[in-house]
Amino acid sequence: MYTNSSGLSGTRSAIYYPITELVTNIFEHSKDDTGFILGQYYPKKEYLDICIVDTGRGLAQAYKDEEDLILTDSQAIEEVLKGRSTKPEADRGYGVWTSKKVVCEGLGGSFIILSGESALVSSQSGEKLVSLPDFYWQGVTVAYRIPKPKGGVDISGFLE
Amino acid sequence: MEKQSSTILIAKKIAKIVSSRDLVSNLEKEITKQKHDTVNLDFTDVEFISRSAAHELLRLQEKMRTKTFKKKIVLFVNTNNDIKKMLRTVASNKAVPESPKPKILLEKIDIHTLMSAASNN
Repeated sequence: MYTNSSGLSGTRSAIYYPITELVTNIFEHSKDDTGFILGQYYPKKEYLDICIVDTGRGLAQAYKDEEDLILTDSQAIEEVLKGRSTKPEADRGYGVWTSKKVVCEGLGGSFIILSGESALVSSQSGEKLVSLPDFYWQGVTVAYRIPKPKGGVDISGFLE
Repeated sequence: MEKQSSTILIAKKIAKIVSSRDLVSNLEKEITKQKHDTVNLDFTDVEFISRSAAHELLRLQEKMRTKTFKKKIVLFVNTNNDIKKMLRTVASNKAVPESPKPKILLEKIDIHTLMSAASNN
């Protein structure tokens, strides 16, 4: 899709940004050394689906291990969206919520982050924290859909 | 006249897309062993750097500048517009955050309710 949109200013950054941030998170936070990235571009429907998955410790366990913070899966997702990092440096914790902004606000897409038995579903029609009874994902799954960009995108306004 | 700076080609040393903090922090040894006090990190052929990589590059630049021994001035050269913007955004946010991190108020719903609402629509 980037190749198809290569004439449009900023689309390369907009497409690379969430991929690089979310893949990096696997190796920095999941305590697992394996992750999976799946992508499919639908040329007739003109959108790209990306899914970035790990089977690591998950968000709630990461807060428990690093900060001794006991959270439910939905509370852990909320903390991630508030930019709460488990790393001690002050200027960390931007990866997920800025990626969501780039996808949803910058590119007009939709975004899901799922860990344990909860998920955030974010789209143009709003955001919901969804409980998933009888389901449990050990680790973190992020999935998002990006419509083919029709014009240039400047992501810098979505990064802070 | 002898050259006054050393150059490290990032595309060759790391990759054309730089996303890992670890790879950036590994540059420290490489920078330290350069013979000149000024080291150019040359981004020719680098397409994109992630926010995390930009953050790590800026930390590394500051660390090398303020070391007690073997100080180095690290310069970012031949950066494309996307890389320039990323470095500037992260640097300015590091110095003076534009806004506090987001406050969120999320509607909570279970998947069955969400699915039936979606199918009704």
